[in-house]
Amino acid sequence: VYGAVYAPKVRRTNVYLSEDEQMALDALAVAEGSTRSDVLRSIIDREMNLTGDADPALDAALADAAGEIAAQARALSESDPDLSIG
Amino acid sequence: VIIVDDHLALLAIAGRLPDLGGGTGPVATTYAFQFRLARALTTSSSSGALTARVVDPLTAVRRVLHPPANRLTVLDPRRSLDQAIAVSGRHRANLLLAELVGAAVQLDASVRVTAPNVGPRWPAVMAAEGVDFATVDA
Repeated sequence: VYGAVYAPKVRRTNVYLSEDEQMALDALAVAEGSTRSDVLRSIIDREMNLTGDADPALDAALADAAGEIAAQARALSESDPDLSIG
Repeated sequence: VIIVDDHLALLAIAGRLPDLGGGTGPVATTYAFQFRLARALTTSSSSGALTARVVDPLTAVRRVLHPPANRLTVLDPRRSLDQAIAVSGRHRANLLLAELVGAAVQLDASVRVTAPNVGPRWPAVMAAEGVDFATVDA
């Protein structure tokens, strides 16, 4: 299902896996009707927070407000001996 | 690795990093800077700034707490604890600075921060520890 709804541009990469890791990947792939590569990609995406769809509006808003938010972070940390700029 | 402050970290998450003026490798920030950033995002002031830009503040907080690793990674402070403690002892650095310099020493990383986030003693501490350090306009 993962591969059907999300088809990123992929590049061939060789990785060394233990027998247990390969067996686990294959078991999950069979259970999900998927492939070892799809299962591995979904695990990496989940672990690396790459699963969220691209959100250009959120990116633009964060970039636009970054200065304001950074100033707020400084103000909140000003009297904090651990987190102040000093 | 290039370690950045909270301001640059937010720009990295947004995919809008300015030129970091040298330094190579993936962009990372420290736990302390991530904490400062996430805390700021939960305040009414920052929430208001985001709401005005038609963004759900909770979505923004989630993005900062779990940044996409291809844009920004958050360094585990335990990995550089030894170096951070040593820096703290040598320079009477607080947690923010000790973690930053300790991580830079451990990873042989560059440090890039915005000008308002440079403490008066920071350049001297960075120089004493041999850290490639510079400010960046954002």
